[in-house]
Formats: sequence, C-alpha cells, structure tokens
Amino acid sequence: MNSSINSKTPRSSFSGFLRKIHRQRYLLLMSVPFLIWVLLFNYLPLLGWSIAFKDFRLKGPVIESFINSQWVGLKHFEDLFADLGTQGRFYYALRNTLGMSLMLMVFGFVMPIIFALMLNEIRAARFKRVTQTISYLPHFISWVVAAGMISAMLSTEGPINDILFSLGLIEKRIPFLANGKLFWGIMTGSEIWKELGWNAIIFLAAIAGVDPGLYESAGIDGASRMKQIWHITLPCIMPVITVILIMNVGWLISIGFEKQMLLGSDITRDYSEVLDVYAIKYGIGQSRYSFGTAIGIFKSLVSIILVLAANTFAKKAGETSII
Amino acid sequence: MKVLMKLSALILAVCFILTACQQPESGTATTEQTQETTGAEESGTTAPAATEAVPEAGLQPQTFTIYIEDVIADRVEENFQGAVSKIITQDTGVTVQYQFGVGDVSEQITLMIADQAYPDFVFSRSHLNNFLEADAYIDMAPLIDQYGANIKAVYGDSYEKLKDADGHVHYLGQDFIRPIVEDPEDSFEIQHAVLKELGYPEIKTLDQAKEAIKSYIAKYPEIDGQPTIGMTLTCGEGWRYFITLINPGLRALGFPDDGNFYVNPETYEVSYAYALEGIEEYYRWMNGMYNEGLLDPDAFTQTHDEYLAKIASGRVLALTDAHWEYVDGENVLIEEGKYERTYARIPVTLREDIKHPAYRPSVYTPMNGVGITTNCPDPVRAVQFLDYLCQEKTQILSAWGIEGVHWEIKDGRRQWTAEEAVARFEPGHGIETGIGMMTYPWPCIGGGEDSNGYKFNPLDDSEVLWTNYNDEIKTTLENYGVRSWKEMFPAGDEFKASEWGQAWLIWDNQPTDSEFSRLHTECNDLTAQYLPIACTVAPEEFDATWAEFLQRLKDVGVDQLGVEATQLLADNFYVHVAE
Repeated sequence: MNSSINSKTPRSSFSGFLRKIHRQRYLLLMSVPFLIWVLLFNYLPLLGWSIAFKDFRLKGPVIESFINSQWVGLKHFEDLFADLGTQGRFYYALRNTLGMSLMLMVFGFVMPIIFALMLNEIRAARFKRVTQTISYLPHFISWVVAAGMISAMLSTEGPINDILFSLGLIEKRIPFLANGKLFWGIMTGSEIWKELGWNAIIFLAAIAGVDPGLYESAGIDGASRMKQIWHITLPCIMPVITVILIMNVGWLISIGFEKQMLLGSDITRDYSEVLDVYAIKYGIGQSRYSFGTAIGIFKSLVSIILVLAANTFAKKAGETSII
Repeated sequence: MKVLMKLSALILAVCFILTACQQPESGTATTEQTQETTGAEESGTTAPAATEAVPEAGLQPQTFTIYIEDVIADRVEENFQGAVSKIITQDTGVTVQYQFGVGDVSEQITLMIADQAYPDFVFSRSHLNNFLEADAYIDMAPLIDQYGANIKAVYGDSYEKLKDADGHVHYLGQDFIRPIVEDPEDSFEIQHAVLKELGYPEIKTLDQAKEAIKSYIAKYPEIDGQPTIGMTLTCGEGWRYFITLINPGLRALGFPDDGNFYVNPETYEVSYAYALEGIEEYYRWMNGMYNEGLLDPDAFTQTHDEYLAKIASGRVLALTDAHWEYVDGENVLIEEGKYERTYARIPVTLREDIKHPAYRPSVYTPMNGVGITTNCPDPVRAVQFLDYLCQEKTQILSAWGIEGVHWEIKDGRRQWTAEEAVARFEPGHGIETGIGMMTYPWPCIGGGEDSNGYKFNPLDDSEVLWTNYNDEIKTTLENYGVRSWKEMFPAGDEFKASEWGQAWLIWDNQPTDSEFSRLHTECNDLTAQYLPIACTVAPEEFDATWAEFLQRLKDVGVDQLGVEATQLLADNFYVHVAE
C-alpha cells in the first residue's frame, strides 16, 4: 500500500509537471531567449572568476594564456587583506566606499521619502507638477556635466563662495573641493540634488495607491495632517520602502565611481578613492588581472551577504522580503 | 487568438535567435574586410601590380601600418601626402598609415595582444613589456646585420644596448639619439610685463621670483578688471601634476630628469626623490606662496581647460610649467596681441649655487622605440625602410625639408629659404609639407652636425631662434644680454653627464605588474596627494604634514622601492659598466 503510493506519487507529479510545461509551452518558448541572455551574459562570465586563483598573464591569445598560467590559490586575496591590515590603499578604498554609501543610504534614501510625502500634501496641482518635473530633471544630466557644474559652483571664484563671502560668513574663500574631509558630504549632497526627484517618483506612485477612504475616516476621527502622514501614508507605503531598501543595500558596495573620479583629485585621494577606482588602477591598470578579479569577487560576496542580511532582517521585522 | 499567440511567440523567439546569430556574422565580416586589405598589400609585394604609383623598377608600393599609443594628430591629417613624404614614397615605395591609441589604451593593447591583431610596426610608450611578453616583436638583429648598415651607424655604440640578454633586437631606440639644444621646454615662466615693470631684475632664486610677483601684485591687484593671480598650476587631471608640481621641485634642486628618483652619481644607488632630505624646501616655498595669497587657491583642483583659460586671460604672472603644456593658453594672448602677457623662460632654483639642470647631458638610453611585429608581411622590407630613415639625407629631409625649396646652404650654414623661414612657424606647415613627420617615435638623430658640419636640426641654431622671436621676447632677452632663452641657462658642458642615461625611461618601461611598478604607483599616489596638502596647510603645520608624508611613504615601502630601482638601474647598465 505504502510502496504503491510512493511509486505513484512522483510519477503523477512528474506527468503533472510535463502537463504544466505543455500548457505553458508558448510562454516558456518566449522566455527562452531571455534565459539564454542571462546565461550568456550573467553566468558564463563567472567562469572568468577562476583567474582570481591563478597568476594570469596575457601572453598571446587569451585561452592559451589562461591555460599556461599558474594556479596560486588564495594568494591574491591574501595580498588584498594584507593591504587592509597595513592601512594601505585598499583600506582607504573600502572605507570610502562603505562610508559614502552609508551616508547615501541614510540621506539619499530618507530624503526622497520626505520629499514625496511633502509633495503629496501640496494641494495646488499645477505647482505640484512643476515642482516634481524640476526636481527630477537633474537625473537626466550625465555625471560629467553635473561634475562640471558642481566644481564651478564650489570653486573659490564660484557663486557659493561669493554668497558666503558677501554675507560675511567667511573671511577667506574656501576651496571646498580641495578639502578631503568635506568630500563625502559634497558627494552625498550632489547625489541627493541629482537623484532626489527621480527616486521620489516610486514613493509618489505608492502614495497614490493609498485608499482615500482611510484619510477621510482619519479626518473624521480628528487626525491632523501630520498624524495622517504618520499613521496612514507611511504604514501603507512601508512594503515599497522595504523592498527599495533591500535593493539599495545590495548596491551598497557598488556605488559606482564616475562622480568620485570626476570630482575627486589627488589632494582628496584619501577620501575619494573608491573600490572600483582601486580595482581599475591597481588591477587592470597594472595588468594584474587576477588581482582585479579578486577585488571583484570580494565586492560580490559582500553585496550578497548584505542583501541576505537585509532580507532576513526585513522578514524578522514582519515586512515584505524580496527573496 | 490562440493561433495569434503561437505565431507571435514563434516570431519573437526566431527574432531573438536571429539577432543573436547576426552579431558574430558581422564580426567576421569586418575581419574579412581587414584581411582583404592586408591581403591586397601582400599580393602587392609578390605580384608586380601595374598601378600608377610604381616609382622605380622593383619598388612595389607597400603600406606599412604603425600603432602609436598617443595620438599625434598631424600625422593623420598629413596622411603621407606632403612633399617630403612623397619623396620618401618615391625612394622606397612605402607609405605609412598611423593607428593611434584611443580611449582606454591599456584595454586596447590588451585586446590587440589577445587577438594577435598587430599592425606592422608598434611603438608603445608605456606597454612595451606587454608586447615583449607576448612575443609580438620579431628579432631584427639578423636583418639589421644584413640590411641595416645605416641603422648601425646612427645608433653607434648604443646599438649594442638595444640587444637583450640573448642578443635579440626587438625595437630601435626612440628620438633623439643626440639631444637638440633648442629653447628649454621646462623652466620657470614669468610674464614679460612683470620683468619690464621691475626693470628686468636678476631672478635666480625662488625667493627673488616670489618678491617679483609680490611687488607686481601690490601695484596691479587687477588685470583687465579681474584679480591678478600670482601663480597657478594644473594638477586636477591625472598625470598633469607631474609637470607643474612634481618636476619643478626636482628642477629647483638641480636634479636631472631621472623620473621621481635620485641617482647617486658615485655609487649608482637610487632613492625615491621625495623621501630625500632637502626636497621639502621647494614645497615650503610653495606653501609660503599659497599662504601669502600668491598661489591660486584653485591650483590643485582646477581642470586643465580652466588652467588654460586663466593663462589666456593674461592675469597669471608666473608658471612652473613645460612650454608644450601652457602654449595653447599663450597662443590666445599672442592672437590678441598681448605680447607683454606672454612668458619669459628663466632658470630659477632654490639657491644661487644650484645650477638649473635644463641642459644637463645624459647618455642616450635606447629603452623603447619602434619594433616590427610578427604580423608584418615583409620584415626585410620593413628593416630596409627603417634603414632608409636612418640615412643622413632622410634625416635632413625630414627635419629641414627639400633642398632648394625649404633650405639652402648659405654663409657656411644650412638655412631656411626666405619663404620657408616665414612659413615654418605657421600652423599646419608640417601637414602641408610633411616636414617633421618622420620624427618621434621613428629613429631620429636629433641634434648635432652632419658629415658636412651643418646642423641636423634647425632649432639647434641660436640665430634661427633669434629671427623668429617677437619684439617682446627680443626686448627681454636684450635686457638680459643674451640672444636666446637657452643662453640664460647653464650650458651642458658645465655638468658631468649622467652616464646611467635617462633613467626615467628605465622606470617607465618596467612590466606593469612587477613589484617595482606597484610600489612606484603607490609612492607616486602618495606624493601626488601629499604635495598639494603640504602646499596648502598653514605654515606652522608644514613640518608635521611633511613628516606624516614621509611616514606613509615608509609604510608603503619606499625603501624597498629604492632597492628595486637600484637593481633595475644596475641591470640596464651593463653596457656602461663594461665600458
């Protein structure tokens, strides 16, 4: 009796599986190209990770060089962490990457939510629309142009110094971009200026989905505008906030490098060099491909751990999770 | 509906597969195309093609391609069509096509090596070792023995230095085999207006220069309505800090250009220059300039365009730049006729007893140059072409132009013809005539005199320089009692030649993944970071900042760097030691 059930169940589930496949065959067929795409461009390149464990040197064709290079185990990772121990460049790069992205996480994440809430409370529809449009326009400027604008604004002959000087707030003009200690702040500020409006769009959409009946009944119960925001709008958009937060945590260590490269200079290097720049300079730039790959793997591992941690945390806190 | 869905799914899938397949097809199409063109060249050498450009019997037309890491724009514009280039084609049948490094050069070279897609010649300023390691160059030694008498004659004793440990010759040394003694590129620059205002004072030391700038600013706080800037630098973009911040410090102490290293002339021991005692004095002076408001506060962060714009506005009194770097800004001033705002080039050092090293001679170091790749279809022809370039008449042709048209022998000197003397300094002259096109990085003799005792290079001649100065320069020079900028500087024979050669070539041509290169990059990074900081802190903090800089250099391994560099110098030094 038992055995017949046991032998029957998998078969029936298997044939059920086949039936399902047959039913969805066109949908599956449509997804095949994307599957190939993902395999080809996201998974196949992972094979290249193996050079992090070799001493890869390019001598002629790639495959040949790959086969001829020596396996060295974790040597490159050891180099990396030895550098961390002696507070070398990698230490600074890691510190700057995490520091800047944490600042960006805190401010760059909270500001759009506040902005969306505020924008939502505006009753003049035209003003609201114009404000929103203006706020997300900087998103479409490339960092190269934006960096030019920012460095012109912050230069000693620029408008910010002019204003501070004419108001008598400073005695001597300040070269903002030459002061390393201000660099993280300038980065965060300019990122918020550029992306505030754009990042607020998704929250505005979430807010638009809140049932107006809730506000009405809260109003009847005597809840003020602030109370309504706190007790209705925020809880309603919480799932969206959580999902975005988890995704942002995944990007924590990959904050990109354009803006740091464009606005940073030698004088601020201790505060402006990020992991990507470090990988380019000390990995690829010096033909140390294996070392560069080791940095890449390290970055990916940190990202995965962070995402999983944030996800677990969100689940524990009773909010939605994405995995 | 169901049929429609079926159909659309199929079409979608097929479309994706087709587009996926198309990419490699188009890829092969382009390689076929390039193969076709190289194929055409190959057939050109084997079968006597009946094209109109056959100049002499037995000289089939041949196009050689060369890859150069940096863009030399006029070579492309000239396109081997100038009169001089036509003579070269007539003599050899060869035309040259240039390919330049664009975008990320490292990546480009990596791909070139991975695909083995080399042009016929390669010159790589900073990736020589990548090519050597990939065996991209052929061994020229046997071919030079057979066809390269002129090559051997030009390089002379240095020819032996071109050989590696196994006696192979992979590349010829780059220009200049003998130095051209023209006006200095690197010096201290100060506006003619400042010198004139102060009655052409003697400015030999940094402190004198500072006083001059200070007193001029006190008199003229504004120039053309904008605040006067005492001095500015260009440090905001990549390597440029080397030119205006790092090198001037070494010059002010009279060190020869051995990169960022100091070679002890007695022991050949090498040390990283910025860890040396005494070098901080130049930056202490800069710190003083900054804190007294004489150095532009944006000097360390501005882009190069902003720097040039400031120079072009005529309100920057002094520079510590190389001529080729600020010339674009200066040209604007010349166009606007503001000659008094252009710059005089003067030798300024830390103390009066230090000699400015602009003309400090060094032994020719053939560390890098044009090599023939394994892809070259006709290496014999390529070596013959290089040999032709090394002939005396080709060298004169390339530097001076055509006899009777561009130059003539008069009063015992080789001189430009009247028209050429004017035309030479007009923009685009080289592109029209082809003069100067076969110089860097092709083998080029440079300075000195030919077998008849005439100068190889026009600019070697003070008289030539004098006739081409504008009146402003002439006035300044007359007030200092000389006839060219170069006469203001200590002449080469006042120095003992650095017999180890131009050491910076050795450092630049090390494998990028070697321990030396890693340490070098890290130390240079620290230097680039700390020199600006040291220049901008309050004067009383200067010593502490400098100590911190030295400590971090030590932590990174600056001592080890010195050891590695000493070893490298010794390794590349064998010919001299044998002498």
